[in-house]
Amino acid sequence: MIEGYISTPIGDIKKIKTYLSKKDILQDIHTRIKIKRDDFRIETGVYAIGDPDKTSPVLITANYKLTFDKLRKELQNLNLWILVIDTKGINVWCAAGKGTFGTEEIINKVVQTKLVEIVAHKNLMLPQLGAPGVSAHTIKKYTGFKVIYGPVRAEDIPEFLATGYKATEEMRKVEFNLYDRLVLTPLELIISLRYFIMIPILLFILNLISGQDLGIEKVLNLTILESIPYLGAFIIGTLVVPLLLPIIPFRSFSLKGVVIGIIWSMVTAYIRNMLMLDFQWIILIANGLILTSIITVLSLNFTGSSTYTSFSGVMKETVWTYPFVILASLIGVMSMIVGKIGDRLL
Amino acid sequence: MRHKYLKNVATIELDIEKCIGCKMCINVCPHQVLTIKDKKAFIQNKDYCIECGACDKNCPVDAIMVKSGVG
Repeated sequence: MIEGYISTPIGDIKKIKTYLSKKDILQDIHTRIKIKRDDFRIETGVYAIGDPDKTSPVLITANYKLTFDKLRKELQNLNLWILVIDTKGINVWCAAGKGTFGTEEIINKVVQTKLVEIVAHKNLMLPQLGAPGVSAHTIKKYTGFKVIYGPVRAEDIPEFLATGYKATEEMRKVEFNLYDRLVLTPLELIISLRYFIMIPILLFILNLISGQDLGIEKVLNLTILESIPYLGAFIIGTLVVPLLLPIIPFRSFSLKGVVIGIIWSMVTAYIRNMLMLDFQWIILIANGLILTSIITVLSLNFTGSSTYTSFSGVMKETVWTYPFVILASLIGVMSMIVGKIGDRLL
Repeated sequence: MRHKYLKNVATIELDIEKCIGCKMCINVCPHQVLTIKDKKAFIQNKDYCIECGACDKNCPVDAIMVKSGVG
């Protein structure tokens, strides 16, 4: 990551490469799939890009390495300073929302790094998505530095700088296209799978009790077959719903989940019927209720990673959704128990 | 394509009397909720507001208020 040093009035500062190595790229992929993402950070402080001097711009960013990599790879052939602040290894926008990419931390770092001795100008360029955590006029008041909000996406920085800090409307807009949604999905799926494990276990117990005379192999096979729709529900809730988000009916994420949940329940019921597994309405309904609940909750959960949902909207959805989901799941589980081992109990 | 979330829930409020037309709110908004009208700020797309709080935080005269929750 480091390609040398540049000497300044306050000491030597590390020069950073503007291209990512194979290791960088691999680590960035890892962080997207829950490998070593909880401490993926770099040291705070001032870094140099190219050969900056007293007149070069100062860009402020988070100490999450993914953020840092996404920023520096867009800065080829530029000469500037990067001030990395402590966001506890969290990206700019999330940290800003929590106040970690914030006014206080920026003021601290500007003072701590003696920035006034490195540059002669009084400008700090911040990513636009740092704004929710930063009060620009407060930074000016306490450091004398003027905050200029740069574009949302790092790729627009060269143009922004070239036109004298002018941002087009497009540069200031946040999108949520297919690719944006796609890169969020692996992590959501991997995190949710730990909850899936319960299902084959519960089904196995029920099948064991109801199929005592069938033999362990048949019970295992049945359990595996019956677990597949549930694995499907987790994959659908964390991959398919996010990918198809804009084309699923309703604005509410929970309702989108219900729509897909009902479709999936019908598909799996049809296949179950075709495979001539023992047909019981109560079990089909139980499956439908639980599968739909799973997909609904996973869909609602995606609001947390989405770029166009409001806090008030998510609250409203959540308050409405959870009572229904809890009720549906309880009825589903009880129906499943009755359906599978009811005759054993009575 | 413009993604649309729930209607009539956003808590953003603008006090036009206090507004000095500095455009900071317009610069920091990620969804073009605000624009300039008659040299002052104007909420043009209230339903696109995600309540991130950027406008509230960066208004030098406290003319904008948003309940931004936990972030």
